[in-house]
Amino acid sequence: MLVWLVGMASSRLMKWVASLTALATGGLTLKLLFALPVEPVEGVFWIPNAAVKIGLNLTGLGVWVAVVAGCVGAAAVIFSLKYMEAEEKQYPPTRYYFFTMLFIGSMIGLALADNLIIMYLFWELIGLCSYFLIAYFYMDPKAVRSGTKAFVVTRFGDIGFLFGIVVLWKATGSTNVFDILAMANAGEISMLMVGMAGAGFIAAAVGKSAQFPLHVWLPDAMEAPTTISALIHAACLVNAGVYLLALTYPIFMYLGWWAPVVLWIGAITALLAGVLAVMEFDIKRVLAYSTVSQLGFMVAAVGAGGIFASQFHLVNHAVFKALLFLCAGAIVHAVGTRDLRQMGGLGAKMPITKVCCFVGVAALAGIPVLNGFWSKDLLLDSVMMAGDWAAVPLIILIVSAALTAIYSLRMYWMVFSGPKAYEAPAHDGPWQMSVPLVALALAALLMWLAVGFYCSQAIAGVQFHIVPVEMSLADMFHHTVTNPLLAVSGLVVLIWIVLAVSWSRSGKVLSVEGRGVTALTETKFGFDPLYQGVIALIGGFCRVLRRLQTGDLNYNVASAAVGLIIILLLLAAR
Amino acid sequence: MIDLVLPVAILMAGSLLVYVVARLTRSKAATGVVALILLAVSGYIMYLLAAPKPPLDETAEAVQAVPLMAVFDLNPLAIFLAVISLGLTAVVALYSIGYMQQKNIGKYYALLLMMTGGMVGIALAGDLFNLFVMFEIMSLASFALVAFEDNWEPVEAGVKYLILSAMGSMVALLGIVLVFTWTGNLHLSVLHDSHLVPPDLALVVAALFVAGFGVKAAIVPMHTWLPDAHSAAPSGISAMLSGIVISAGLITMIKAIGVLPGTLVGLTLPLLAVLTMFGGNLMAWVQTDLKRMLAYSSIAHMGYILAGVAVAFAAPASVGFDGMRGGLMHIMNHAVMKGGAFLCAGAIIMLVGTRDLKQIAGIGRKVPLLGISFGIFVLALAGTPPFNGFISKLFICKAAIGCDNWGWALVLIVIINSFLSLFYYLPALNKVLLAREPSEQVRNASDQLPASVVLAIFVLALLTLALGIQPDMGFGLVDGAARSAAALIR
Amino acid sequence: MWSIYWSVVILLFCLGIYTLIFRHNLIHLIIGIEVMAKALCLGVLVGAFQHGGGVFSVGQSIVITIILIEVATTAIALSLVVAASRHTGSIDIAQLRQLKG
Repeated sequence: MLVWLVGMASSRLMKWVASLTALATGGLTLKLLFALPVEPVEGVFWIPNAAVKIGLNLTGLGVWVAVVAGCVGAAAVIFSLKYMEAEEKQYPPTRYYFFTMLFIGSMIGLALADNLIIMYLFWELIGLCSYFLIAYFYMDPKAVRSGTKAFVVTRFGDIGFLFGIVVLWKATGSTNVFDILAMANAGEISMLMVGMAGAGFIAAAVGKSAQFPLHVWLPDAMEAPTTISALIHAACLVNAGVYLLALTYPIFMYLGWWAPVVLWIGAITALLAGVLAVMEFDIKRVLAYSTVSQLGFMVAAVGAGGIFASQFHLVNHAVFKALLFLCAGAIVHAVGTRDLRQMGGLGAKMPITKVCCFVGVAALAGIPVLNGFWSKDLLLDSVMMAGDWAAVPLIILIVSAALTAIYSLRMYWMVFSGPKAYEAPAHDGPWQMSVPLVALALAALLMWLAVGFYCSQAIAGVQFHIVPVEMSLADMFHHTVTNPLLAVSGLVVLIWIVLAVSWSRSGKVLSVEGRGVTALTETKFGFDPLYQGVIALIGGFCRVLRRLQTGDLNYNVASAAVGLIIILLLLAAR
Repeated sequence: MIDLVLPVAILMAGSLLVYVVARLTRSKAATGVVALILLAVSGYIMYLLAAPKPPLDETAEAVQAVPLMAVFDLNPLAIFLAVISLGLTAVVALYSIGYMQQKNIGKYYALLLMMTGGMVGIALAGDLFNLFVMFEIMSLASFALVAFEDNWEPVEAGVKYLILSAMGSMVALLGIVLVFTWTGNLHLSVLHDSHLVPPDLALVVAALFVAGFGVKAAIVPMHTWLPDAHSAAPSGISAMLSGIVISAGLITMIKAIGVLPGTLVGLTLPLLAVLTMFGGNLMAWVQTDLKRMLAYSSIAHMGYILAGVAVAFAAPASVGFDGMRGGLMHIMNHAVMKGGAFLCAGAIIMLVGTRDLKQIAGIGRKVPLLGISFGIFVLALAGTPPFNGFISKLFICKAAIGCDNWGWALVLIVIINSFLSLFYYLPALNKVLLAREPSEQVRNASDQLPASVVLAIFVLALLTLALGIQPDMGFGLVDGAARSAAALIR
Repeated sequence: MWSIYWSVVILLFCLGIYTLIFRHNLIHLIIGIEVMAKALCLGVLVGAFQHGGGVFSVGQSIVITIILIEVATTAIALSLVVAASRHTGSIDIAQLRQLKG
């Protein structure tokens, strides 16, 4: 049951042990999934004096996230056996495997914890691991800087999370998620408290899931080893925010402003990141922006109340995004650069990677009948069903879906079919790299068949969310085909055909270049300089403040005397 | 009653003994071991005294009969402070065997024991003047220890520390004198129970106590001595000063204010806490000297502790216990993690010979154990789970939210400050652990540390982790202390 | 009657603080602290005298203890002054301004 302990215990062992443990962890989470519904495990006291209990939250929502973390994590660890080999001389592998295992273990812990404080603990551990893993290539100052940035930005969001936890603790006297959910359901928490906590939780999710306006850290996090990027994007880090929002949605759904704010944040993020992805030339950064954009979709769905659509998309996204990142890893491994402009025509040299990558890209774009198609359709449907107030975000999301189609095909085209041929020899990776690729590709192709299973397991144990009627494959099929939103998928396919035809005719790929554009992608729509400015401002203020410490003894005594007078006045003014 | 003097007396007499031993044997190790044994004996007596709990009301009656004598009083708060100060001193004594030079080692250990004796005395003191005397003993020893190395920097820092601290003591003493004049009594619990101090006077006295003992507790704007003293002192002493001496100042303040009736302090302490937090964190932001940065972060941490204590003072009935628990727990955790951080800084100085953050780049890579421990301490200080700093900050927040009206603002400020502190901890960590290439000084440095230094750091690192993962270990100690502290201010 | 004594106490105390804030000579500063301490000794005696009896004798012992502490403080302070004058060549606190910021 204590899956995450397995993940952590293995930490310092050699890499083979690490990969075996990763597999075992993945297997255990899967076993847990099939065992659903399970009776919730009664918690044991962690801090008896403060009545903080650790228990397991074995509902479908959490277990699915854990499964994603465990399985994708296992794939990534196996992939890295070969991938990281070249780096081992310079960078100690122990540290890599230690933090990777801790990373996966913490994510599983987060997903299975039933206590907000424990969740926060794992939440921070994830951030900590990401800091060390992104900064893994410490020789590169950029890597260290992005690691620090990732940690700091997510910690900024965590101000809200911790604040929300403390407020809810005060309001309910409990930190157990299910107690709080039950009380919120019964309307026993004052709206003011819920409002404060709700704002805090949005901030937390925005930071962790790299939503607007804290999206700045994720593209920079691409300095990490590619396997870690895969973990961050698909399995571990960024899903946490969406999961948190989905889990706590019933607490906040009675707040008038909460859901629209979440929906708008999601929609704006999806659009912004989509635009940036079209303009980007670094293969990993394209994928990063696409992750931000897809997370925007999920967050928007949560705002619209489509918890299950969003979580279904989360699972599917994890699969195809891990696939894409591992493909990118294989490509970068073979080519040695991340610049799309220097690639092209790699299809003939790397057939396995090409096919797998195509599957991933198609799933990302939402081409029928891959898994991304079904979940994106359900997701947009849930936004449409939310009502009139969601109309504008819906349009934004549809535009973003079109953008997704453009940038995904563009990326694929520039790598494999592009105009320029990459001259140097390149080839598919060894089996340690190919096996996870193929497995993930198959999953992306076929996972939608299991939607009935997904639904039945996802609602297991869930009490407070609005649960859709259990849906089977046939239901979903029928639902999707009769839905007007099928047009969106049609649009996507149309875009693909048009683009493919035009690009193969002209031999050119859409590329938006120019100084303005570069500046825009570099600064993520100007948010980087904004934050840097704020930090510089505070730094300047500190420097001014520093002058107050004059080093003059008379002055020191005077300040203490002034302190005495201030205290006297404060007390007298009472 | 006389028994209670024993732990203090042993340390005081022991300081002489240590000096003699050092003179006779001329051996660092022997002196250190004798000091450790003395600490252990003192601790053991404390344990014996604490084990069968003396019925408190009985001693109070006995005191009432003789209202004015040096009174010692044993309560859980006393045990709390005594355990932490003895424990940290033991670690520092161990550390100093390897860290200090042979010269004057006897004086060093003698002063160290005297300082600890002062702190145990503060813990046990049962009347105001006795409290003050013990406070002064601690201060005197710490003046001498700050300026222990005969160099311009320690001397300058020592002078500043001494003048400011002496002035603070005088201000606090003025408060004590006022209480004595009006009531003719100095006994803490008698004064507390009988409300002898009139409210108007109590107001003035409270201000004098807060300002006077606040100098030692480094509350902004009385903090100006701290960065100098902490960075100039030998690292073991920095660890003591930062880990426990300033906290002892705060506990002295709590005990002294306890004699005044009612909830006098109100919003004053929370405002000071906010000032202290921001002051410490923002000033630490621009430091380039490792120990000076840690010193400013101590101010910030005193702010967190004060925030917990302040809410206890502001609303003693509802969150008195919670606030004290948060504050005292942070005192304990801060002693462990900041003590450890300063010991790490000392070890770095030993190896590299500089405190400049630029010049110690990459030391954590050269001596991995040191780097990892430093990482643990710094992350704990930044309030990152699963280390102990997070737990106590969480409980401070939990207490603060219990204050109506403005509690949530204080919580937000505590959390924001915790975030702000990342901006100087992380660059330091990046320099130590993730530097691109080691600096010239580091390349030339040796990577051999004395065993006692390694052991001391290791113990504290382990405690940091253990108290974070299994906070229950500390709760037994803290809860009782918080209960008696909360009773003190009600 | 007592208020006269108390005015003297407060006056002396403030004189001490004034010295600490406005004097640049280290010896002056030490004297300032001494003045404050002596003011407080006077205060204790005045207070003890008001109560009389057992309290008075306690007051006396308190005064002696304060003086003791003062002597120790002064001794350490003077030794620091000597050290400072050796390092900077003066006992002016303007020379002790290297630690700042």
